[in-house]
Amino acid sequence: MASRLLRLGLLPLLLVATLRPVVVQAQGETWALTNARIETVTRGVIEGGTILVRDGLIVAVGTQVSIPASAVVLDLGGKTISPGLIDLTSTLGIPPRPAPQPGQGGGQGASDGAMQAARMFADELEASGETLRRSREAGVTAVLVASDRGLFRGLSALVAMRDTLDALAIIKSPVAEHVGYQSGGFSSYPGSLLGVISFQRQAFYDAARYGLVMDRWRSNPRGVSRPEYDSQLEALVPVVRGELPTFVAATKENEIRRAVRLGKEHNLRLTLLGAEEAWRAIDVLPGSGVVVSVDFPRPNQVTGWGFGGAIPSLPIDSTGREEAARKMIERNPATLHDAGIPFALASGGTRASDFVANLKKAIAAGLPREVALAGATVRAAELAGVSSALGSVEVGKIANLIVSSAPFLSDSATISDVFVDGVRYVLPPPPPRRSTANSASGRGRAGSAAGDTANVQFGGAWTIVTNSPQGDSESTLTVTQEGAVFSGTMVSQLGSSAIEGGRIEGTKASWTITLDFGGQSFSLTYAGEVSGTRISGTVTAGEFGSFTFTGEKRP
Amino acid sequence: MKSILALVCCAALLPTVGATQDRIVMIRGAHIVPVVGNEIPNGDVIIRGNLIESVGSGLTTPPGATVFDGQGLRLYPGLINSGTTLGLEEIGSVPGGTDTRELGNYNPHNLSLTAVNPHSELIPVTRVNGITSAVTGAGGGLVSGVMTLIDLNGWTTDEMAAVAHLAMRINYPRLPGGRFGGGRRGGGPANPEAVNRQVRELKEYLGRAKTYDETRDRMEAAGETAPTMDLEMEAMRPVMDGRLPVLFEVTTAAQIRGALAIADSFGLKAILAGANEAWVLADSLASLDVPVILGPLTSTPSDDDPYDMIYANPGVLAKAGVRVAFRTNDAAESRNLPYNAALAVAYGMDPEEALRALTIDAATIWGAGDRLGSIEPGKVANLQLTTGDPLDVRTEVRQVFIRGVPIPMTDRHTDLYEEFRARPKP
Amino acid sequence: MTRTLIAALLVITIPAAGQQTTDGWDSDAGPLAVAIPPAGRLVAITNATIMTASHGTINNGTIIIRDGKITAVGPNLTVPQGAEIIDGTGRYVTPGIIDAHSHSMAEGINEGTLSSTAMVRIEDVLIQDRTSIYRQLAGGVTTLNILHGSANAIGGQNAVVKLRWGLPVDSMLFEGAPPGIKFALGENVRRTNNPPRAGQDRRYPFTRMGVEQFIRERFTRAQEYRAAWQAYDAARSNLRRGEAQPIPPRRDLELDALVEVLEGKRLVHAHSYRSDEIYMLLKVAKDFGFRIASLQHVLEGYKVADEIAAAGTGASTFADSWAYKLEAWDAIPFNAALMADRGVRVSINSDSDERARRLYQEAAKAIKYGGASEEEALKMITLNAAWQLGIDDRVGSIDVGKDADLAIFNGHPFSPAARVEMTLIDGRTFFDRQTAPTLDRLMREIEQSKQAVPDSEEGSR
Repeated sequence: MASRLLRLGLLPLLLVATLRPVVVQAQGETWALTNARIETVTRGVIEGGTILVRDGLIVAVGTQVSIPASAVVLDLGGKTISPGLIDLTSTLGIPPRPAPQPGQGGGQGASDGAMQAARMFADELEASGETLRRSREAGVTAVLVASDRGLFRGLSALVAMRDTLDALAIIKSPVAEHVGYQSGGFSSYPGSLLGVISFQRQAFYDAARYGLVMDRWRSNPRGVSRPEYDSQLEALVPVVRGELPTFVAATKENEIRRAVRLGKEHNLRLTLLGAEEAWRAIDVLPGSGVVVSVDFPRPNQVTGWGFGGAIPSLPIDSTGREEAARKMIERNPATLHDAGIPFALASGGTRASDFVANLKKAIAAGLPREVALAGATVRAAELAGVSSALGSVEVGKIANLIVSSAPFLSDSATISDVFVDGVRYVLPPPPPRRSTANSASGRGRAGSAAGDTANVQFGGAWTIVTNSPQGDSESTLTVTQEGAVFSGTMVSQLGSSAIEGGRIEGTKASWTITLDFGGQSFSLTYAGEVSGTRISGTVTAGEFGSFTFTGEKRP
Repeated sequence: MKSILALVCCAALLPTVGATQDRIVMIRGAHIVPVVGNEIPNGDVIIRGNLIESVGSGLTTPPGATVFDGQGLRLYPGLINSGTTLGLEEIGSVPGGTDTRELGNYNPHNLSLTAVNPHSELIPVTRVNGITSAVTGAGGGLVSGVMTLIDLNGWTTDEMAAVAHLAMRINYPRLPGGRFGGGRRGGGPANPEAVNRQVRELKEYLGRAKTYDETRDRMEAAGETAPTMDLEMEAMRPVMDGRLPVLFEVTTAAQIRGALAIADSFGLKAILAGANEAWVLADSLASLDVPVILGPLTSTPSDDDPYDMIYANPGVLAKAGVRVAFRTNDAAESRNLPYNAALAVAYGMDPEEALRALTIDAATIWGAGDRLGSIEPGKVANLQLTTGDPLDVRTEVRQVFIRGVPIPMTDRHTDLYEEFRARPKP
Repeated sequence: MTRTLIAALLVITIPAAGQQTTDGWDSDAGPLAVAIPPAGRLVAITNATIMTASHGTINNGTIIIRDGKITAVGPNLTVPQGAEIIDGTGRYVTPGIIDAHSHSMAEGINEGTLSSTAMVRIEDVLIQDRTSIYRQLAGGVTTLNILHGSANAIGGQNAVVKLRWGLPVDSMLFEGAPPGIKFALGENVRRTNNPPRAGQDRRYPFTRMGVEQFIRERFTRAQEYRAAWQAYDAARSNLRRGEAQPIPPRRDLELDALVEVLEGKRLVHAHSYRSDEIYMLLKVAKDFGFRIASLQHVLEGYKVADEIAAAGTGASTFADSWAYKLEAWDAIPFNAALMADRGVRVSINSDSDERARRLYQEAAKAIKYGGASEEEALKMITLNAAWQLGIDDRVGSIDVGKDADLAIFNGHPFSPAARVEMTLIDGRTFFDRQTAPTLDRLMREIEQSKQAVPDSEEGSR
């Protein structure tokens, strides 16, 4: 088929998932990493081994490696070398996009913001050195970048953690079409979860037919009316043909089941992204790729918490139940492993330091460390379709490596060096009193482990725009922050409400307000990601469903 | 619907609305459940004017009496719905007819009786199910105004008023979180700051009212006249004097504690309403003699509360010795008052206690225990003649009497029913 | 593996009910699961008053249940060896209550952006761990018709479920129930009570006339769409050798659903209030050759009861709700009984997770208002609802061969002291007041914890 398409000269660019030949910024330096404990991940552990790195690639691994004179020798004195982590759940470097305006659309068509299937994240990336540095220093050497919002989100790119996220850093694009369950707005279709799923279903049918019509016309246009070109459907054609994987962001049990149904219905090459409740849906997992996020949800947010209303001793015994539920949640990866389900591990979009801390929680909950390491490296590479180039310490693979003081992901391990594309990044020595790894290995909740100092500053006055089903409504949020918690008020046309349960976890802010409306009170829970003077996220309004919001800090 | 009056006299004689002293009505041969005192299996009641003249068996029919045959029927006191918006709203979604919420947080001078529409279609619909009196009042804000107790028949508001100035309604600010005021659901710590501020504001308001009342008392004693009169504060004076009870609208135990603390510190006479978590404090409420108005029971508890919490609450309170009454807390559902009590019975309340809560206990809570709530000589003749237990949905109410007036047993619904039942087959 | 984990894993891997026997379940099913009652038991409910909803009331009767089905019902039955016995002495057994109008257990019920959303499916957004599900079980409810909201004239596809509380959501679907769809007329569709904000356009249609024309327009499109597929199918079957395969018409999920309506394969449940709009819809359906399966709310149905009966359409109404909006102003509590008198199959529904908990008391109102018989009233929350949903061959009455979906009451379900003691689905006890979290139990636990900790919350004030 490829030759026919080439002959026609009509091959859409995005059909070709280009694996970049690694000629990237060869530093000129050839590294010989000697006297190392090498965790190859795919070929066992090599004690006292040497890795030879040249032109960004691993060119030799073993105990009998001959070291060329040109090599810079780094005697690691028994330190451990592991493959660099690959995080398949990243939004790094995606510039913010304006939210779709309400009032647009509203006819029989889709809203403008809903369909982003053709969006190429590789073309958009921009990221500061600082953000990249932090990820890299936690051991993350490559990330899969795609938006975490929307229903057809676009085509992801796998990117190396170099100094800048430019085209040279891109390892592969597109990796997959990313799909999720958020609607694009509320005044136009689809404006609810119901609509989102139907929209997706229709789009896949449309894409299949589009491909058929286009093929027919392209093979013989004579006498055939020219079909209408549609860039979004064009992007979905390889998806419905199973040529390009579909990554569906599915956190909750029902989302996982939904995604699997969708995949079966349209013969997608499906990978579940998130899968925080995969332990509740093991029966449907075989046959799909699974990327398990270790951004563990809170007990009261997972499926099953609502069963509490039927548990006789619940009201007094709720703390114990929360603890037990938390254990089950953190055991998610271990449970999948026990059930024989292969999976990759990913951060879930948290900061890189939390990623490692959470991986350790998963290990503490019963996941073998080796499986965790493989999950965050070679399994991830497999699902991204780059396992021949990345994910383990093997000859010919890209030299993305972590050097740590002890077996990586063990409690006492601290990272001293990270190699990306064969370029060495030396980490500053850990602070004397409190080592990064140790502080992150605590059994506390996500967020608190990193300490309050790392929390974003949220205090001040914000203009919040809530994209409610009735349209947008603006309110003023006034926040007084104390460490990881905050209080204040939210004032809208409906009056003033006190912030309840305001809390910050890293760059995530969440709070609840209770509105009195029409004689009934109901609560809105806001959860958003703070980025400088902007915030965006989701509002959950109980039985009214959930919708999006954005906000801007007032000067 | 069958009117049993038709069996014994001509419908044209039926006095509709308005009491006359010389009207005499007799109900003969019914099973009387007087609520206070023993049941009378084959009893008679004689009504003269508005009042019950005598209750017994084998009474002589007075000359000129309109006689109602109670054979095979049961005679109960009319029921008292202890919380409605009857007369204050007609069609829920039509704002033009809805007077249930004034603007602003403080409206103690609002008199609910003022806005009661005596000719609301909802009133006949309610009373033909045996409900003869209803508390009605506006909500909204913190101090909503003065509620009123009306009999469900009359040409004007004053004619309907049973207790015109019944109670001052205060909506106690709602604390977030669970039963004990904390964030029990794991949603992070509850932040009661805004609620506390409202509570503070309410206390300050009451403090101001207290000062105003005391100052005026002194001025009146000294024969001084004030240059200006504050209508709001004037309306609060009977509250601060303890003459007008305060109805605290509450749900959680924390709110109840807060309301009781306020009542205690300002010397207010408190009545609680709503109070889904009053069971937590049943013993305290009994010992403080604070009555509780319950309902609507047709609502759902919070997610992790016992499924039957709202149904079982009245029984727990009654057993602990708390005086309780029921309400529907709306207008259109007012007729379903007895079925709220039935739910309470199904989940543990003694049936006799439930009936008392609908009649004499309600009357007593509202300061009308000497006039309403039982079948006794000298009491207002608010009665219902039924085919059975008023708590039983299947029971038919055959005749209702309000202030001695046999009420036409028709309403908007029976009119439409008869009209369309007679529609010829197309 | 810990015990709780084993339990939780089993919870999610249990296939559809009735296929697997799971024994040894107790309340220790893990922190995020509930105990699932065993399936496939042999059960006998003995010495009970059985209100069958189809053939009267049996005093001192017995019901035998095998593998989730009723295998015998009647007086003087021999209880088979090994049967688990539920003592029905003093108790009343009715068919499990069927709520023909629910919005429970869905993550959102309205896709209200378009005037026709026939493509959206409630089945896609079901959720299984809502406490309200359990509370409806505690009211004897076993089956729900979960409908799309009434924001638009042609709403989404409904889902019929059994309240198999604790099982994954797929296992709660009522297997084999005919598919359906929600239509809506009147104020909600016009958005009378939910006007657009400044700057937003009103959505067509805005009048009751417009609603008619809109529905006619969509069904006209559906007819054309069906014709296009028929032409395609014909072209394919008449294809000559060497000819290119024809290109199929665009598959349109909205019109697919409407074609199913036209072909009688999808039941229409139409939200309606006023008699004129009811009358209109019956005429439109007749013109397009399909039947409206049920009119929902249908508060003025009594005004056109003969027309509804003649159309073979069911009516699912409230017992006595009225006056909450203008189109509910002529609602009368006699509606159910009067329509039934005129030959309409009537059900009484909740449209509310709260009201659903006491539908047995709502049904009794049909006796009070309009003089329905006891069995007729019971049918309104059981057999008639089943008929409207096309599942009356499976549920809705206590008859041999039907699913053992049952509610067991402490006394007569229409009496004021009526309370549900147990609720069975497929012969499995999904609710049992003996083990339920009641207020009484909570109060005892609080009392115990107070004794354990002298300075409790209660005492600290």
